[in-house]
Amino acid sequence: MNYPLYVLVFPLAALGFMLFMRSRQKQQTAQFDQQYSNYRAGELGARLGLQLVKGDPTFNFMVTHANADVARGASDNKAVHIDIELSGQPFGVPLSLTYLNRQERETGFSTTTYKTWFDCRMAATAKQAFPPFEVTSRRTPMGAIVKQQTLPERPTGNPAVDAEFSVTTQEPALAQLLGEVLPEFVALGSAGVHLVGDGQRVSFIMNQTTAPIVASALYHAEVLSHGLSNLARRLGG
Amino acid sequence: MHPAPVEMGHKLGTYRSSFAGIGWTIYVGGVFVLAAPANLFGMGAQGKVSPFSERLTMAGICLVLGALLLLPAFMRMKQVVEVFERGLVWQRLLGTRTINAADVQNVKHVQHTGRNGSYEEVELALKDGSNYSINGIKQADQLVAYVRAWGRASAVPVGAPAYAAPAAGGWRPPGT
Repeated sequence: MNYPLYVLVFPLAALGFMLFMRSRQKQQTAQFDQQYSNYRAGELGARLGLQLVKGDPTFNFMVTHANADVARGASDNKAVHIDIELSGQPFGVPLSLTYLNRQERETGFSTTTYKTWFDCRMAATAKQAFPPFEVTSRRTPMGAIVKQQTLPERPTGNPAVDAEFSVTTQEPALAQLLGEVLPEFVALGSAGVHLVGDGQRVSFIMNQTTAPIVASALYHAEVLSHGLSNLARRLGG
Repeated sequence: MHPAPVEMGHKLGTYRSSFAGIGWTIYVGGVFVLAAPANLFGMGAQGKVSPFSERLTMAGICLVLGALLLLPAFMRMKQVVEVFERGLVWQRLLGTRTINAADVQNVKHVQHTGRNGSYEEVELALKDGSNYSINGIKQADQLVAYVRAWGRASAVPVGAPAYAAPAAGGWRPPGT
């Protein structure tokens, strides 16, 4: 049978191009992983004065797809499960950075279901319990920040802070204290700020797809660790 | 039957529906509805020669199919969810339902992605075993976060060092 030459050449060229692009993508990922190696769990922990308690020390918060499991994605037989915990007391109060990303996949006859669990936060624990509060940036390039508590908004007494953040709490004195502490968090800029005080811990919440995104927020990891520790100290003595 | 009204506290937000995932339903439904009078009045070369009974049947079929497609779409479009500190009010085309925070057992946030568009669903499971699906609401993630906040407020972990307020507005920073 006589087929035109392009019947053979085009599929081979397409296959070759696909393999080349995959190889190039892998190279680029490895390059980024190296470039941002100071955001690998082990190295970030050393920078912040935290110990790796749980998880893979080579997991890179800035280049998550450098991790083989994340790059491959969830399959019906194998879930993606990344669980990292760093903890320490770099500024005299217990501070931790936790990252949980689990994705399961179920392929049905006509639908594919992905179940996702995601929680990433840097948290400082106060010595004494304090009233709950929540702080969110009023504007971020990624849209509104999802609030986790049902508290009323209060003025902090600091117009610059009130213009930048929405502060919600039942306690006027706590709002005032936040007005004094929050200027430190302005350094996070467009990354966005989402602080939740649950009564004992102050957490900076980070997300996968909405502000504050993990990579953008952890770019300011030092500011975060100091700011959270300072806030926990002011709240709990 | 609505549950007994409770004081739901301050309103936290109002969430309206979006067109996400129902655009094609409205389009196809609209075409069917427009096809009904076109069939009935015998528009087009074929229509003019068809007997009236045949045109009436076709018009009826088109109208029913159009209504079947448009009704769920309009039901979704005409919904508003108002969230309060201790419950929510869900207004729909065919009535209003009040759900108290204390009655909610579980909430699930589902993102549907398909060829016909993507939309978000909030699945509420109540303690009496009933389930409600709120489909196509804008900012569904915030709605889910508030429902989860109700659960956290009611569930104080055993042994947790909870904050004991001296009085409303009575908290002072340590050392002051």
